[in-house]
Amino acid sequence: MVFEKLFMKILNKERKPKQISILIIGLNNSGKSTIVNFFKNKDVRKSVSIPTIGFNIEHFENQGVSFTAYDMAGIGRYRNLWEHHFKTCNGIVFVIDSSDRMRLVVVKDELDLLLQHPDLKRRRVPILFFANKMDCIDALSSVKIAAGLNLEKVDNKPWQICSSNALSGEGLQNGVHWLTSQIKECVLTPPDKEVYD
Amino acid sequence: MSKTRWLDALSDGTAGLKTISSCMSVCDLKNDNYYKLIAAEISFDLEIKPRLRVYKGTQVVHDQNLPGIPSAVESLYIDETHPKMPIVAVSVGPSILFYRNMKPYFKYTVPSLIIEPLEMEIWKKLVSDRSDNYQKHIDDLKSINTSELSTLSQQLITLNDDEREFFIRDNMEPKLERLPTIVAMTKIYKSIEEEKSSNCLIIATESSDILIMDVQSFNILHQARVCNFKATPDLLSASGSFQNDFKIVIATREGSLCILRKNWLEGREIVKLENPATAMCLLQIDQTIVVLNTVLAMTFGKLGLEDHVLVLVTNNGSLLIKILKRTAEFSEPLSVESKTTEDSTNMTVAIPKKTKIFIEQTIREKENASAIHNIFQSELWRMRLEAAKTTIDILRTGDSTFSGDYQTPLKLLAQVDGLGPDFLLTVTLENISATKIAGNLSILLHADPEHYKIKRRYADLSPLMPGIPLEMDFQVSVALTPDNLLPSDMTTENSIIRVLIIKENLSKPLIASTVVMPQPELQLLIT
Repeated sequence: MVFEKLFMKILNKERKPKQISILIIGLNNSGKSTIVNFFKNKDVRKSVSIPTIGFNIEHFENQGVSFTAYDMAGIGRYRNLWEHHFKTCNGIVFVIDSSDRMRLVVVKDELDLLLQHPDLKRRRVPILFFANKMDCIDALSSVKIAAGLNLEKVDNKPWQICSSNALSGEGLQNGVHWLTSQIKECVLTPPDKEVYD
Repeated sequence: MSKTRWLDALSDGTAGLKTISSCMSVCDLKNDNYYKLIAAEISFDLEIKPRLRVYKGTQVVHDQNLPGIPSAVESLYIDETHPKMPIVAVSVGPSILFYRNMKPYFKYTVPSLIIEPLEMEIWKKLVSDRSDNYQKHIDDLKSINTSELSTLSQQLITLNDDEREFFIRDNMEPKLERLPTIVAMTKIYKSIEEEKSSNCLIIATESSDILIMDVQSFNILHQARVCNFKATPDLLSASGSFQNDFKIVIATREGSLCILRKNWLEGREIVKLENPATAMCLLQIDQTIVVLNTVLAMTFGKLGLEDHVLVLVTNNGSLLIKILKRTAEFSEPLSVESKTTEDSTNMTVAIPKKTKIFIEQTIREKENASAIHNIFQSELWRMRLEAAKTTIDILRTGDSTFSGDYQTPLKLLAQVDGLGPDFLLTVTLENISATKIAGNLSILLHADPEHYKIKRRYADLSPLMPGIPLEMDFQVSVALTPDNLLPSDMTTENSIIRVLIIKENLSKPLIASTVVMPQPELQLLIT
């Protein structure tokens, strides 16, 4: 009896969902906090979001995987905080304001910095791009954004770009579904494998 | 990683924007933290009316006609009420048009200049006189400098003979006005130097006046001349706040740069350039940006959601927007050397104020300079003589812990242990020569036999190897009286033992050192 209990305990420990940390980044006013807000329970959702200072930590669960989301501030002077989480994150959500054509170059610059960072360069970390604010009249399509950011050059990391509307929630579930399955594949099954290019 | 510090956000060759630097401004027009570019489109074709355009990012969101050719566009805040909505000021001729929410809001015209009395008199005659005499009066008008004439007179002298009569008849009650054209505008803060706090407008006119205007009441707060000589302002740049302190830099068409500060009635020339300046901008950075076409206009500031954006307009109407990279570094990493030199040059030494005593002393020194110098010189010689005498004495007596003899350089250290009346005197002798062995030495302790009893006064020393110190202990005790008291004539001054190091065949000791003995603790002896 005692042995059986102990065995079950060990088994349970093994089955317990692993803590997965996700980094949510993007320029200021791209809708990061609004996206995180959508995944919270209805009773704790905020109706207005204010510019994030530093970062916020949120927890949510999807397909049996428990996530810890680091909702980083996108304001220029806080962007140097992003890299401190690169080492520990298992997945990245990069939010882009698809209506802000002028700053697409800034998005590209920040993405290039991220991809060249020593903590991420050799790791196979899935990146999910949200081409947010798809409801805006002058919004760029996800294909155009992918072309503008030269995403086809990213070959050592799985990536996906989804058009989204964080206010209505359109496109968010699809994206997170993809990210969860990628994380399950990349992180949970084999130990963190290093990729050399 | 490329070295470039700028990201090309946009280069729109089809923008078709023709403007000048002073007719571009960036501001948060809708108070939604999305900074927009306001530019006046000035066509070189006079038939096409100038237009005022607002760009959101890269798209024109607003486009309206302007009543005349603008000379400057500035956006400013008039009050501290929320929401903070900026107003746009556009100077056209002698007037400034204020727009709120891009709708006409107020028109201000600069006050007229003084009309020459002669001109007024001529006009009186013109109105009353017969047409035959017009030519004479007009010749009189021409004697006045054209720039000092009213617009009406200026128009008159350019007309043909037959047109003049009609013109004068049309203006039987002449309203003589001399309105100076506004050439440049800029803004400073009113009191609080914060983004989006209320501003004052600075206006420079063709007549070399600088006006500082309160944009809430449209009153002129301060008026000053550009310079004490003839200088027409061309470009303006200002910093500071009206209530605290401000600086206005004025570039003139004549090629000088003048500075105007708070409460000054006249600017001062600071730099005289060989050629007039074409563009002026206060920048903290220096870098060359290569653009394919000639740049007509540029402005730097917040645009959209970015803080550091450079907007360029080229002569073929292209609009270029460049965003400064977040990681851009403009300062070269300084080496330690250059840092220290920079520090020493930039360092300001806190010099205290001159006191009354200091000033009095300075005056005294000025008056008696030669006497002070002579006294100082004689004292200096006296001191040198004293030093020389002492040196000779030391050399003569060997009264030192070092041996002056270059043949056998020695160092002596003495240490006294114990509380008394019995002491232990430890003498350490070291040969400080690098190679030579010091031999044939002996040590002698010399003291008043009435005061000290020394067990062994004399010892021959073994040859001393260089660098190896020799330690010797000597037992010294105070010669107490039978009733355990100190000798009566023993004082702290004469309780000394002289340590002499003697070399064979030398009449003078190598070292003659004095060891001051401590006073014995007699209480311990009694108990």
